[in-house]
Amino acid sequence: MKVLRFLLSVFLFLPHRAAALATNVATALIQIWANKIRSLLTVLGIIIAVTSIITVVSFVQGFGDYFTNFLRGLGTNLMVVYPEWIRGPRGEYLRRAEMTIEDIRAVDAHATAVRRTTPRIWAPATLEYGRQQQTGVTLIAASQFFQPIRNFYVDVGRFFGAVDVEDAAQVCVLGRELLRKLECDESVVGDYVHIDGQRFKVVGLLEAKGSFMGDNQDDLAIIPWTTGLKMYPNARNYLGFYVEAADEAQIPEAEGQIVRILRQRHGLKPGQPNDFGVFKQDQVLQEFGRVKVIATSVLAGIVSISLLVGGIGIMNVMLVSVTERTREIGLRKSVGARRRDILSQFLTEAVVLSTVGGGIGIVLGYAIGFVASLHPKMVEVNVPLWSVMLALGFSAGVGIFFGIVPAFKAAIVHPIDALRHE
Amino acid sequence: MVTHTAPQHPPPVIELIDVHKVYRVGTELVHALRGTSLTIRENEYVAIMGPSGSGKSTMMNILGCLDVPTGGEYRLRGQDVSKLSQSKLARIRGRQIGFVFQSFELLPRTTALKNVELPLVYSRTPHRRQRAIEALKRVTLVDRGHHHPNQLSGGEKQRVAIARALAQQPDIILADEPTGNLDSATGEEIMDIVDGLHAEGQTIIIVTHEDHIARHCRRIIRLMDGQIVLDTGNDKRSAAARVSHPSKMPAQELAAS
Repeated sequence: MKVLRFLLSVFLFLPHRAAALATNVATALIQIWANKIRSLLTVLGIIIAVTSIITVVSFVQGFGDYFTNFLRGLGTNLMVVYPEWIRGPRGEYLRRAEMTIEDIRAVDAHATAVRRTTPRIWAPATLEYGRQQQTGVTLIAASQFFQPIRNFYVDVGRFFGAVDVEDAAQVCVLGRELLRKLECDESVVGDYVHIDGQRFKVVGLLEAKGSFMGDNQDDLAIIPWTTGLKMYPNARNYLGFYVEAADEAQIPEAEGQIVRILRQRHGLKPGQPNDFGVFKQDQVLQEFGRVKVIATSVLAGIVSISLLVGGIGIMNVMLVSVTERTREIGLRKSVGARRRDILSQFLTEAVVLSTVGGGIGIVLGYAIGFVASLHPKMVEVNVPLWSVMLALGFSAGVGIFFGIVPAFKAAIVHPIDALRHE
Repeated sequence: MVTHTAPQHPPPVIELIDVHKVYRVGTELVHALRGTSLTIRENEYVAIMGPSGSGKSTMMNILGCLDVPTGGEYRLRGQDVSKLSQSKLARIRGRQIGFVFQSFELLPRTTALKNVELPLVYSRTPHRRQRAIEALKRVTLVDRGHHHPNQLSGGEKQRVAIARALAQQPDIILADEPTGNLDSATGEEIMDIVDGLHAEGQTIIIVTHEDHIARHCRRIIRLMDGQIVLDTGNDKRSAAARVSHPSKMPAQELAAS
């Protein structure tokens, strides 16, 4: 009972006053500095734990931001519908399922949760401008709605319009990376390029989107889908299309409507799989979520083991320190220190020690993130404030948990025995 | 005897009434103090002497509130402190008693000034720096305030320790062999400072086994086997003379104690 009351009073009066706390912290820092090597070895476990927290969290966070930005860049309400490959009984690919402009028009007409669509033909093409030639350029053929659906706009010149699509005009817009590869500037607008041997007028340039996972998104050319069909007639029966849902909340409903309409049009019976795929953004996020769980579990393992090791190290060193400084404890008691003063002094020392370790870990974590982001294909890592607070909280918690026993031992030394201690 | 019957008695600071202290060492009981009674008044200058094992350390621990008696009563400025809790005792040690130890007990890596401030920190006294400087002035060491203990000589260290004991303006200074770790010349310097404090009105108790230290005091109390066997009362000359020839002490001196 007495012990309980004592412990209670300790926690209520800890810290009694900011000034007393400041004195304790100063004393602790002097002690730590006086035993630099020993202190450093002691907090190694804490350093490893905190470095892991900061590094892993900042990487996960960095990739998370990266994916989110990429997906936002794609247009928040975007879905992609594409014809699947039909598989035989042994899983072998037989042929591609058909998808035509009538399918797309039906979705446009009947799917109420869909705002608009654009057909999408995708092909690698060769592009020539003057003496420059680029092969393997991403060529996309789409409607005038490409811009709002994909959230990808021209910032010089104009996009092609409904009339260009109607007329299957030989016009195109180019991406910035393609421009760079062709070694030309914005004066190319109004000029002509050759795409797979056909002459196209450049009417606009797309804004720069940057790269995603090392793939540059600006290395492309876009032409009207009607023109695309003329160039690649085989694509007529295998069209994919972009869908923009009416709003983000209606994405699941839009998907359901699309699936229903297409299954009906393709004459699929219940139990038969879809012969088309619908790609939604949350699939990317789900995939990323799985990676996140793995990273977090590995992190939790490393962190808990190294915090345990670090904590035991701190307890050990604090016990040694209490024995070494028994006379000091006796002196402090003889000049008026109460048990709780001694307890809070040693507890503060343990917490300061572990928090200094935590601080070193945070700096190391930042450094690793910084070095990693120097790599050109690396995402920009960011260290969220909450992970810093979490790491500091963990280290302080370890200091309290493993410091309480040594501090208690120091507090209950009898002053006479302490002053007689050799 | 003259002083005992003097017309004005200063108020008592310390009153021990039939104090016993029994330790348990293993299975053995050690009777360190066997019914000791003692009154020390303001501005007395007392030496507590006795061979080792006489109980003088126990006496000092009890007088300094580092320990409590197992029997009897100890009144410090009228307050019974023999049954107080550890934390109340710590408070009394901090505010009413100034310790001076044989081996100085200064905190290393801490300046002289900070060492002097230490009791003031624990009692949360305001204007600590100012009071610490004043205490250092009284031991004429104020210019060494920012030195660390390892930059100070033994005598200087003990002066810092005395300043630390003075900082709180305690009721008593309790010095345990204050010159034990010093050469005799330095020891005399320290004792001159202590004499000066006494002249300024401070109550001082010195635990020592050295006659030349005790000779500075006005009253000598000699312990043997846990009991007071000599109390000279407050007469400077007779105290010095009688401690030199303890075998010749008059019988009525014993009765007076």
